[in-house]
Amino acid sequence: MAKALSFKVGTARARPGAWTTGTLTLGEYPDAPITTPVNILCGARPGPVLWVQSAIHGAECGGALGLLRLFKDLDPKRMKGAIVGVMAANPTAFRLLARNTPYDGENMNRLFEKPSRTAHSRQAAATLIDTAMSVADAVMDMHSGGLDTEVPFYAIYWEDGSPASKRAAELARATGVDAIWRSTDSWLAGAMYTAVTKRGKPAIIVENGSGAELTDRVVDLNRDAIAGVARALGITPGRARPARRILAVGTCDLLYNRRGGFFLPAVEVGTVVRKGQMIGRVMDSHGRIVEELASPKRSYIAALVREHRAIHSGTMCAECCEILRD
Amino acid sequence: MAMKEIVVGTAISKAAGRKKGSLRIGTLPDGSPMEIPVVIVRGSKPGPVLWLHGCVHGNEYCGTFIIHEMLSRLRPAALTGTVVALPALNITAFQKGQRMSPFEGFAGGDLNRNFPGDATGTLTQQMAYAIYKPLKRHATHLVDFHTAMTEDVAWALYADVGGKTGKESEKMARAFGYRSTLPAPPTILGGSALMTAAKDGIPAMIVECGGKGPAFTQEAMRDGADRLENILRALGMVKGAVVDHGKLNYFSNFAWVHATKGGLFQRSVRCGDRIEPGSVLGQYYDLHGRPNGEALAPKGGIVLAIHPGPMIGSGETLIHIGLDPREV
Repeated sequence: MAKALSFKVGTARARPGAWTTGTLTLGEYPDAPITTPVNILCGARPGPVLWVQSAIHGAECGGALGLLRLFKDLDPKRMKGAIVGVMAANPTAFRLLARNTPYDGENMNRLFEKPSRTAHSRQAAATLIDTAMSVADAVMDMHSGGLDTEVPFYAIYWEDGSPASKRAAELARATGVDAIWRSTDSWLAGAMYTAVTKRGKPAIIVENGSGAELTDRVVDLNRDAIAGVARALGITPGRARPARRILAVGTCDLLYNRRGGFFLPAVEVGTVVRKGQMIGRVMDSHGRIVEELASPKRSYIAALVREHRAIHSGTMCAECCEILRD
Repeated sequence: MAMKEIVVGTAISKAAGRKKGSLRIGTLPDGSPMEIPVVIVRGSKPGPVLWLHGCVHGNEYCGTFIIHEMLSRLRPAALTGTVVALPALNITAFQKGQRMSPFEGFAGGDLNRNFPGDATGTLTQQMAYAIYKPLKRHATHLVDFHTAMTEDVAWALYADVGGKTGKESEKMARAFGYRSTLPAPPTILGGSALMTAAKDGIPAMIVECGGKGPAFTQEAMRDGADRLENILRALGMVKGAVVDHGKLNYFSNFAWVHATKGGLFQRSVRCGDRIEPGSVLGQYYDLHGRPNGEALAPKGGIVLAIHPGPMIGSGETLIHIGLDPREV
């Protein structure tokens, strides 16, 4: 979709052929606005607008670094359309490197199904999705395992057979990931990528690494994922890379422990395990193994608590996605 | 004839008297149990089992004090039935002085939205499961104590679920007798102990008394205990004439209104005040001391809770309004 070359996201105004900056206000502290930094890299010619956001879970900021790396590589004069970077989609959580909003404890990425102007996180979520829907043709929401968990490099889209969902599947393939989660899980109905897809625009999540150990490789993969989607949308020149062999995964079971202690993973994230295979153990403070966690089905390990993390009962230790197709 | 055993964690009651113990609701990272206190006071004659709990939201301490005041007044020889009391449910939140457990990171950590719980779920779901299992097994009536934001909070809800359970819930609420009372329809407060118990046939009510943290008075606490004692009289658990609190204001529902701006805030209404649409609720100021607009009521009704100030952020609860008050 061709776009006018001039649009605004908060105080950041797109300017043809330039990298411009500003802030988007998502709420107010008692003394000042709550803002996220915004970067816009605008092509010299009209074209689609890709919205890329990072840190909706505060510690998951590898996407912002990947985006900055890409912006430094790109020549906007050769671009059609624009890439919008929302660097801290949940600014108060980002400041504390916390997953949830410190003011109300909410997981902001569960609040988009019915946006409202009630609690702070809901007000911020409503502003975020309304702004994205008004300027963007496609949305990328960059995630990681945060401080406590590790995730493999994979993408998620909402599978409902709609044109937006089909386009999201194509964009997920363009990221270069090894696995794609075709999500229909009800507990993700309030996620932003789901809500954007249901409103008729393609949206995906890219998961990669952890927030606790942000390596160059993780940042590079994030950069490449955004670059691949920008290419697929026609914002940047070049042909999409040929599709690789990608694992298709589906419904996700979340695995919780019942004993407290230290988590000792038995497998790596991104591996496929068989039903009943042990994926991690809990060791108590006396060195005894007090619990073993097994996969409830043949599954792709989409998240795992970091090794040696001290955990309480009811910690989400693993995400186990069913295998759809290899 | 031997009395039926009442077991709540390590508190085991087999006969008239007072038993104390603890209920394990989770495990800390060092492996030590996350335990909450339990007190069972059993009368010499069989009767209702009144379950009292507080601090399902960890920083709502007034109810804990009301429960302890009530327990100190109970004499097993003069009691018919049993009082089971868990004065501090959400113990890690209680310790930290906050609403939800500091360990809860991934899911909705509001314990009062997670009943009946899940034995293999998140920490809060596991906690809810551990608490609700004995509640469902033993309780015939439930009173759940909460607070809101300021010391003048005083209102109640009962499970208006119809039938015998609804009638018995209303009887408890009228015996407690807060003038502001919401007959809570079954469509609201899903996952609360109140609604979960009522749907399982256990008459239930919530008391909202005093403010968060230390924001409550000894007078409010003692008044709460007096009213709770009146519930025991109404249920035939202790002797004495039931105090008739007269007509109450029943609401059709409640409305939460959130602040849309941040700054300093000074309220101009108190809990229990009647407001109309457009009533001035308070004044915002910026940090330079300049007036930054009035907070206006979007709906009319009775003030159930109001932000105390002095500072407020966007999205914080500004006011909680009881809608369509009618005297019953």
